Amino acid sequence: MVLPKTENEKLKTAVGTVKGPGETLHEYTFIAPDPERQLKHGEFVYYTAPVDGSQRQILGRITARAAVKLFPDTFMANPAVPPQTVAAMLGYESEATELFELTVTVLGYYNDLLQDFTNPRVPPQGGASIYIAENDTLTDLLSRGRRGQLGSAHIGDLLSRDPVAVPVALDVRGFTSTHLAIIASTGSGKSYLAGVLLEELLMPYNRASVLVIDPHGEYDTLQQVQNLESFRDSGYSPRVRIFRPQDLRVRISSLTLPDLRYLLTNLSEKMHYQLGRAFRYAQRTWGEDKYTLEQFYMAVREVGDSTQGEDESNDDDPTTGALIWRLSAALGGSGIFHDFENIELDELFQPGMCTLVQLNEVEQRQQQVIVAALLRRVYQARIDTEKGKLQREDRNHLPFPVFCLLEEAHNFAPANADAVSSDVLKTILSEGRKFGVGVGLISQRPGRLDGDVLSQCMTQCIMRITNPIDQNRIAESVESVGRDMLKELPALSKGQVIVSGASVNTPLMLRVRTRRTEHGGEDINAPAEWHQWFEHEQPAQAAANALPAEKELERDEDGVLWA
Amino acid sequence: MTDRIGIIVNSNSHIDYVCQLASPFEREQRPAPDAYAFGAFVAIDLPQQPAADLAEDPPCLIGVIYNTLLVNPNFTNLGPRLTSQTEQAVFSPDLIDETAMLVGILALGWQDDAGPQQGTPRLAAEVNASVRRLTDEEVRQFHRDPRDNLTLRYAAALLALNNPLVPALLLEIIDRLGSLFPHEKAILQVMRDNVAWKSIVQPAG
Ligand SMILES: Nc1ncnc2c1ncn2[C@@H]1O[C@H](COP(=O)(O)OP(=O)(O)O)[C@@H](O)[C@H]1O
Ligand SMILES: [Mg+2]
Repeated sequence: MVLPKTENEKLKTAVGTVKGPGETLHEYTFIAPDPERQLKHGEFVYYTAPVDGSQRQILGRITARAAVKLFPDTFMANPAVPPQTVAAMLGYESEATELFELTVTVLGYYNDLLQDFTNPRVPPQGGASIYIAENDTLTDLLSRGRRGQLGSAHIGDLLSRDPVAVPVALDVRGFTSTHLAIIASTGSGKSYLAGVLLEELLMPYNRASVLVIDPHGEYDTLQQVQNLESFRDSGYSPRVRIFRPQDLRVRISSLTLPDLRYLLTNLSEKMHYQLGRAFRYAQRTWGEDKYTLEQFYMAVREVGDSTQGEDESNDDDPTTGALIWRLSAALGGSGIFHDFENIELDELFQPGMCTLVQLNEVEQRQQQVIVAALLRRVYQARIDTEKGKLQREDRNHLPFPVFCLLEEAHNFAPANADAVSSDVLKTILSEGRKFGVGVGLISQRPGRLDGDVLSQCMTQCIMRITNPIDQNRIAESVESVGRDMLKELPALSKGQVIVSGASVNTPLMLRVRTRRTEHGGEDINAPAEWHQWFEHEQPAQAAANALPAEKELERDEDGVLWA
Repeated sequence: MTDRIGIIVNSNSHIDYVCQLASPFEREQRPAPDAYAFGAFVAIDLPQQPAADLAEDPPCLIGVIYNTLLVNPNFTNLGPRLTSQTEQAVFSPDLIDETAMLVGILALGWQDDAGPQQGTPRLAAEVNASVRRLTDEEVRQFHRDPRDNLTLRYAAALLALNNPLVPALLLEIIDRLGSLFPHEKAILQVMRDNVAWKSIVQPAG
């Protein structure tokens, strides 16, 4: 009796034969019949070659697959007649009807010293056997992090293998210091992946301090980590803190002049000038970050055009009046901009805590100002703490690195447009690693995201992208993803991701793991809710409308109709 | 009527034979024109192996008629003649003998004790070997492989000859097989379309 081959025996038989070197130095091609269709695009294969006296597996990734032998089209003229039977009639009865030429990009052998792949720089011998890399080997070699260990984030498993066969863990150190981008069309699973990442960051082996800018308020469900046993470890349990829009506070005196200018749109030249003078006056007179909105009005009047005479009320000056009116419209009525209160950094940041700043229902310009103000404070606090300017008892003392995740990042660093948040984001992206401020950007429109911002994110998670403009932007800004992988972008399914850059050893196509907490960003199920309405709402309404009250029209003596 | 068509008189290659049809003057009658028509299947006797006992089916090559040539020495003697055609038959019988009809035969396979086989034959026929037409049943046998499937192994070899008559020959053969193998018409149709496209549509396009 022939026993079916075990998975490992299967992997030990050669699948192909090297044909020769490829177009570039680090490519080669091999020929394989591949009857079982194992040699998928992105699959890892190896040949063995002597390196420093011992046989090593030289790993590579399949980047192209072309048929070298196919039935002629005319053999397929009749769907009821398989081309094999036509070929058999003509005397070709072999089972081996197909043959493929596969291009492999060489990664090399894993160099334990360098903790990276080393390319042997010699193409394999023609005729050498090619094997499929074993699951265990790949698990060991592909991910920087070790699943469940300090500094690892297990986000999924290798797409070309069976589910769970090759788990992949990112190196948390990589993306928290040199930043991360999650890019994909809407509905491809960006927020889901971000949720997985956040879960990993809150695990006992990471205990990160994370802030999430959540413009849609879709990360609430992350709170479940507080009740899940798997997130606990002797004395540790993670916290998730939510700031809803009504809980947000930004002290007015913490806004910078550009912030103010940004909030007050369409100012005239004169108003701009006066605003600048008032701002400097306020800072000079009461000190940085130590005045209320009323005091600021005072400053505006103080610096206002006093050619009108000695009259006490400078309100008559149209510029002063208009400026104060603008200020009160933008800041006065807002529950967020406040005279005294500001969210303290230690409320926002703590190791083992994820803070969700929900910005739904907040107007976009205000969102940008809030994010800019927040990031600026964090960054400054980290610089001052690192440089020893702040001590433990100081208010903004922040003695640990932090990671900030921004949803809808294209709103905070748009391409071809100004946003107050762009500058601070760019500063953090280029300098943040020195002070332990890491940023993760999530966007469905890389084409609308500032190109510099995108190219500063050294770890990229790219999911399905269909828009060609967005694909081009990625090709331009993301060097580490090979062209062969970019071609896959439109073909990826929901929950599949290409990860490349600083947190993995080589670009990988992954299947994102299932979340431990629920996913919050579900779309509204309109048909179900309409249905619901007929079951519950309509009877109630019908009852309420049962007594139609004829409303008397009331007019006053002038004949004006009153509501 | 007989199945005998004529005898091998020449060959152009290992698989390309020239057969001279029995002349009308031979006592036995000529076969019906259908027997040596374009695309007709024939058997060419092979020399007997000395050791072999006389099997009931002597080995033969199996081929197909793909060409016809008329030989007429008079064609170039268009000068005045004293004798009439009938007198000439009486006075100069050898001359008549020199007009002949030749057909070209491509060997597509052979038949031996193991039955019919398609492919390039190992053995060659000799001059004067007898040529006869195949019966429908024999044609059918020739196109069945041991697993009883319709087979057309020689098609590729035929096409490789690059002879302008081959596409038409194949179409002719396929049509003939279509009536012999009614159940396999679909497969044959795919092949027929393939050949027809390449020989009819593409050259005209
Ligand atoms: N890895 C995954 N496994 C299971 N479901 C997923 C996965 N990724 C995404 N989904 C589902 O796909 C839908 C869209 O995902 P989401 O992350 O909200 O998309 P995006 O943020 O890119 O617009 C959600 O309903 C989510 O449940
Ligand atoms: Mg989303």
